[in-house]
Amino acid sequence: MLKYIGKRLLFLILVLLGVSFIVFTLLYISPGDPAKIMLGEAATEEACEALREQLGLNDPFFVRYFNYIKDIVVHQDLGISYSTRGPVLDQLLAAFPNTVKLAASAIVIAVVVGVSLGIISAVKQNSVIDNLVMVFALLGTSIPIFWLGIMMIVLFSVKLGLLPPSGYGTWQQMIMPAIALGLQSTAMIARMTRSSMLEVIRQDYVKTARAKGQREFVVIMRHVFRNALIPIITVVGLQFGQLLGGAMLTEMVFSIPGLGRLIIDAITERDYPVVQGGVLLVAACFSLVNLVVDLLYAVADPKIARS
Amino acid sequence: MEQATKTKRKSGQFSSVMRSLRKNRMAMVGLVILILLILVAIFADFIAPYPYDQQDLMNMRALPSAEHIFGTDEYGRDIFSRVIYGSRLSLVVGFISVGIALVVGGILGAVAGFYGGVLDDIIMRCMDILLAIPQVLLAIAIIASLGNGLINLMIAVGISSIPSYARIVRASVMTIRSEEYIEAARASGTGDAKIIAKHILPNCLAPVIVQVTLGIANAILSCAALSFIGLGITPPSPEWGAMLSGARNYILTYPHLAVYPGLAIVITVLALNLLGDGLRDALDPKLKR
Repeated sequence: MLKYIGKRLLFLILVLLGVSFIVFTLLYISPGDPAKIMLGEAATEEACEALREQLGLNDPFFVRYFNYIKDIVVHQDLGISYSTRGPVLDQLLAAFPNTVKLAASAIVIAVVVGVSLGIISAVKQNSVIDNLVMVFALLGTSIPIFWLGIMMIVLFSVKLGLLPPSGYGTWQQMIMPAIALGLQSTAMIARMTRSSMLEVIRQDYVKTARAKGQREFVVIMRHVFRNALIPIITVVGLQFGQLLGGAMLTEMVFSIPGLGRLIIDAITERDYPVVQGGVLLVAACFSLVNLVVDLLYAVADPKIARS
Repeated sequence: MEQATKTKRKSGQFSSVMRSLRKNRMAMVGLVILILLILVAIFADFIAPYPYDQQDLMNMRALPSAEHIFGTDEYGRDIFSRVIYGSRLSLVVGFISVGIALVVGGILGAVAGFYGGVLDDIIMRCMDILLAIPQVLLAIAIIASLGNGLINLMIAVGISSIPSYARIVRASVMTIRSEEYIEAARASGTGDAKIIAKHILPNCLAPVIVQVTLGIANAILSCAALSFIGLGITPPSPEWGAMLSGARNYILTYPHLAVYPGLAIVITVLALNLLGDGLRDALDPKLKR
């Protein structure tokens, strides 16, 4: 098991190296002169040249990429922001907890509500509740997060005056973003839970459990749900990536100072070191989550751990 | 004679898929909506009562009325006409970006699956790297590099969805490549490229068709999201996401501006999702989830 984790971590580092190379290249070929961006269009050519020399922007591509990676590994330094001139890492670390809090609330809502709906729907297959859940699941995967967010603001803030329309800090301000971000995942998880449960529910061992007089709740939870877990864990893991992407949009709609907003604002200001660092951080998180999901498989299914 | 039996078998497959699709009421609803949307996009010039960029500054942010059934936007443009023209942009972006992803991802996946070995490793590790970045973020990074615009948006959304096609095609190719008829084709001296194109790819169409249908829905959502952020199609083009982005500035005072472009996205994506689910059930019972 430890060997497996070690191998996966090594692979993760290689993937992140690849990600850093792609993002570095993308931003290297993008238009705009960083020195002009930092000093303004009115700056003299000498001042720009001095700054370029200072930042090492005149070096060839591979030297620059190598230095970028070296600074990350040796000094934990992601460079300095073109617009604030402060370290990129500080900006990322300030925004990161806000995104994590948002994504975590959303995934908790999605798992709790999604799994419950899926179980109810599978147990009461073809009932009115089942049909309602399926309609919800279909709509949930078709509504864009940013529109849902806007409509929630219109309903709950403008029309009903119940919740603050934007901002970050209080728990009231967190409710709408977390629900908006979590809805799509809730729908996916509900669907996957339902179909996975339905596959297990007709197995012989479930009949056996019933026949020996187990209470229905125990049958469903211990015998059916436990054995339906693997596909559910897979879809939860996949959803987390969607969530990190969706968080960017949610942060835009609700004015939450998270990573997504930081990255998008940085793109508009052409603050490329921040974009690079941000994308790298998101990719690192996503890859780590995937690793954890794979390890959870082993916990959910001892057969996988043994092989 | 051989030709005749071949076409007969093909039409048999096709009609059995159609039969099973026709029985699926939700999928048919999706198909009908999709056909209507395509017709709307084609005949937008005749359906829309106003040009999409005609401003009426005396009549800004008007509520829905007989004259403007969805109201007017922040420049007094008719929202109904803009939503109608917007269907063109969304469908074109959806189809073309999925086309890019399908061609590039399909070739990569077919080569990786057919040859295996080092080539497979290299291609699939590259796909793993792309998959480590959430799709929307990857598209954002690409378009930040290329710059705004319709073409760049399609390229960005297309590239960011290459890995899913590569994976699906690779998986199907790997199951098919050891079949006996491939062996037979090879024994009779057929070249690799011809085997892949003529014998392997047509036989892994089922999962690809499903992925393409759902992928177009996904591409339309990504495209709207990017335009909403301000990184895709920019005003005055009547793209639904861009319209929402403009409407967002007025939600506290004129919330009706944001309703219809969003509904248009929901209906389009829903139709494609319904059709995609139906196709999945019809084409391959094994894929049924």
